[in-house]
Amino acid sequence: MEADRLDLSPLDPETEPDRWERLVAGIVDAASPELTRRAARASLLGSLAELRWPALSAAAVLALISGAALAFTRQQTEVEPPVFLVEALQVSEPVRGWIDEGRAPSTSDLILVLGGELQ
Amino acid sequence: MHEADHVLVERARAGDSEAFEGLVRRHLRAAHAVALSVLGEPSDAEDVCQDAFVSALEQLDTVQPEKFAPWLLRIVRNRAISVHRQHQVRRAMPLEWANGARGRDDPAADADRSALRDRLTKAMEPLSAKQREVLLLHDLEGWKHREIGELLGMKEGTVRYTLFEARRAVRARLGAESNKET
Repeated sequence: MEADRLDLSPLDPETEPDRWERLVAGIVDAASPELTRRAARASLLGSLAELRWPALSAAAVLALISGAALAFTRQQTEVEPPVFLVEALQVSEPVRGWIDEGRAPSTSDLILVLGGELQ
Repeated sequence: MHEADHVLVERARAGDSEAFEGLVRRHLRAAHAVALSVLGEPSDAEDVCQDAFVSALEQLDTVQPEKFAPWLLRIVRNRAISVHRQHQVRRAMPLEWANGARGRDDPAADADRSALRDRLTKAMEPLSAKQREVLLLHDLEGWKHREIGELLGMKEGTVRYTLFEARRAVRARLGAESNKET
């Protein structure tokens, strides 16, 4: 089959090397705006990729700190019981009873309380 | 260093000019043969190759890097067919394949080769575009039957037969011309 091969070498474009080189250079020239655009895009993506790991590490640290702070705050809120005004003022038990019932103390109540304090 | 197509494609995607030039140098001959098989005129084939390579670069993200060559040659063929149609419309008549020698810087020095090229292109004129493509890829570019079949979507046996028919037709035309001359 190879013996049947036609000699098509006169159609070989590289028999004119100068013309061929001009063609190659012409194609690369015509492609240069697209190549420049691609190089710029690749460079930008590369920069972002370089920043990716430090940025992720920083984000992880921030997340850790935020989580810890949040957990601590919640714990504080849950452990501390609510503080009422009467407790803060250290009001005695009989007086707290009058306040709770919303009534004025009678004379006997006052004698009882004062007597208790004197004792 | 001979880098595989897929490596060059990846580098060209990132705007590497050397890689793109590598792809051009590796595939330009086949692209030229495909364009020439459709258009018949070397300078038209060169224009089509330039457009096709630039277009391929613009669409480079869409191709699987391992399938670059057949993809590129499809772009070349489609462009060549499109240009052929434009020529037909412009000239309002069928484009004759093989319009003869192109302009040259030094016509005298290349006269013999030019005459041979004219004879060959005229002899290939009656072939179909597919026959010319098979003939040029095999006998000029040295492609194997299998490779041509993969590119053109033909069975290997069909490629062989197409090649056989094309060669026979060209030889008959060249023989007839020689008889006329003597």
